[in-house]
Amino acid sequence: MDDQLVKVLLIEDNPIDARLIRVLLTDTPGVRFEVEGADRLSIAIESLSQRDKAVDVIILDLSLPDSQGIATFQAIDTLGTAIPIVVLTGLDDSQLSVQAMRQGAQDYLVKGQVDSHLLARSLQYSIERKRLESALRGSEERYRDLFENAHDMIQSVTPEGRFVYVNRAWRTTLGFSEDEIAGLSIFDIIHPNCRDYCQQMFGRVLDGEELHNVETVFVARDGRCIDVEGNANCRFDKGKPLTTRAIFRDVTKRKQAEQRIRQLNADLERRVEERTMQLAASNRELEAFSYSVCHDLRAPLRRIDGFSSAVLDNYGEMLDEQGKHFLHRMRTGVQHMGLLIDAMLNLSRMTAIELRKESVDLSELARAILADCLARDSGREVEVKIAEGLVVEGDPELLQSAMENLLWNAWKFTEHKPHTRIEFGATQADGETPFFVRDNGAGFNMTFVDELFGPFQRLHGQEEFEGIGIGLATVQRIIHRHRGRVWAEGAVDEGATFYFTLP
Amino acid sequence: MHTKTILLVEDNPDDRELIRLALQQADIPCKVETVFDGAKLADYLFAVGEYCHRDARQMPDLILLDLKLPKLSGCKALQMLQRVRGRPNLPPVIVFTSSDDEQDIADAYSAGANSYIRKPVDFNEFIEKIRQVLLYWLDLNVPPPSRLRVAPSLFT
Repeated sequence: MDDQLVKVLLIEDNPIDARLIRVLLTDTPGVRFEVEGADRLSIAIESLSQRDKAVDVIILDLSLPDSQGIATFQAIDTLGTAIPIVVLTGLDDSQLSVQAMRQGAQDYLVKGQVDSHLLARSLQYSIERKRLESALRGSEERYRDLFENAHDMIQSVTPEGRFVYVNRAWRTTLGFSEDEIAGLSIFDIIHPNCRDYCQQMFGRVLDGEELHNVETVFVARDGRCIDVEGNANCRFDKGKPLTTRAIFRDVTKRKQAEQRIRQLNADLERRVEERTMQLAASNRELEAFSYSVCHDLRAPLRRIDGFSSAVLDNYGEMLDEQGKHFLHRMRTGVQHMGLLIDAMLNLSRMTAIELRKESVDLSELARAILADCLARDSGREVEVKIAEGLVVEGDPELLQSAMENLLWNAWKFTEHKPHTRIEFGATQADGETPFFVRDNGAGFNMTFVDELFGPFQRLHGQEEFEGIGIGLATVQRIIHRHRGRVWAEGAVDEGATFYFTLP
Repeated sequence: MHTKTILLVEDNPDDRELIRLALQQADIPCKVETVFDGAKLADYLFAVGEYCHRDARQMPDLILLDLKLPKLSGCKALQMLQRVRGRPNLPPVIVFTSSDDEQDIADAYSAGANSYIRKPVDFNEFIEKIRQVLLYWLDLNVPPPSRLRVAPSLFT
């Protein structure tokens, strides 16, 4: 196996000493030293600046013709070559040696007290130590770089609250210099409103608790408040707290955004409230309007009808048939208008009255309503199917009205059928259980399905089926007031199904 | 049976005429006295003001009262009558109005109305309602004896 080759730069002006060292370095088992000499500092520097000439270790005599003492070491050291330096000194220069060691020399050898073994070992150790040192420095620099360049604020604090170290993000965020930080306590940078809380938290950390997502407010040097959030814990030695360490993140922007969202929500709520009040006011106006429609429009209608009737009764003989017919037509028109006004009022009442919540048996309602229809119109062949026990929570009066309108419609639109089928039940669809009223009557064209629920909308002529077109509008209002939905399916001459939900 | 007197409280001349027509058509023989507003109703009943020559002991057999009246509404007039101490027994009060507002109905009853009839648009129905209500209150119903005075406080 080849011996290890170590290249040595020997900087020594005394040719006898230089010679001696060369001799000492020839007889070393396991390692071969290749020595290059320099008897002036300037020559050494020139030699070191030649990049292609690799040197593993420098042996440096501090007393050279062109440089003396520690300055010699510094001259070589500032070249920054990272080559380990072993200093050679005279017998009486121990202080100088120590000085050189402090400044980074790997070892010192006293002239005249060196043997081959010691020299070789010193050189080899120096090389090895320097290698380890620079590896350690590299690693330390990497961690320092991470620590210093982290965006989060990192701090270490003694149990007394003094700062051990903080990183650059901490300094730039809070604006304190290193000197100022040395004189600060952790509680100096905490907002007065948070101090009690943080004192408590600090105590818990010293008791060994790991804190996560602690929120507090720091105060920067210029008085700015900085919302922070972070984690903190403590390093212990034999159960005694040594230093706390904490990482905080500046969440001021997030806090501001949150505050803004809260502000927007509050604004929105206020606006909704305002609109609601406006809406309530216009609803009240509408109610007042309905009331005056009730009283003021009905009264003149009644008079027209009354006096038309009086003409017919008292002056009937003076009119021919045509004249009487016209008067009858007038009365029919007036009475129809009366019905429309009443229906409109009823519809607006469905919207205005206060909703009660009680248990309502829809099956029972359906049975009673259809029994009533049958009693009044017993000549028809009718098959009724009602699902049992469909009980809901809702307003009994309104739901009665809704059921009446739906079932009366079913009754009415099946009157031309030889065999009537009317069904009330519940079905399952998309997690809901819509109720339905189904008939086999005249049905409707699905093209007009959107028109069905509009007030005074009719899909059939008065000659076909009587009505003023308010029933389904009423049903819709009632179901909507219960926050439910209502919809219809049908086909001409094949019947109709009306669905509604009551959540 | 003596001819019954109906006191009609109605401001609208058309309606007054229609009610007269309806009474004829319903074939209810009666005498109709008319006052135009709520304030005049009290004057009439207590024979004061323009009615000071009237015999206050002669109470009408029935009051047909519109609600929407100038000066003093029908309800206000009724409430006022109820508060008069030592008043004679009032005849039955039939509110006859266009309104079907629940508040109006409730107010009318709490002010002491005996019946509440909504005027229908259809004149035939109008006649029928007049006929039925008058038949009930003037013919079927037995009024309290007029000699016995019931303390007003029990009524209010």
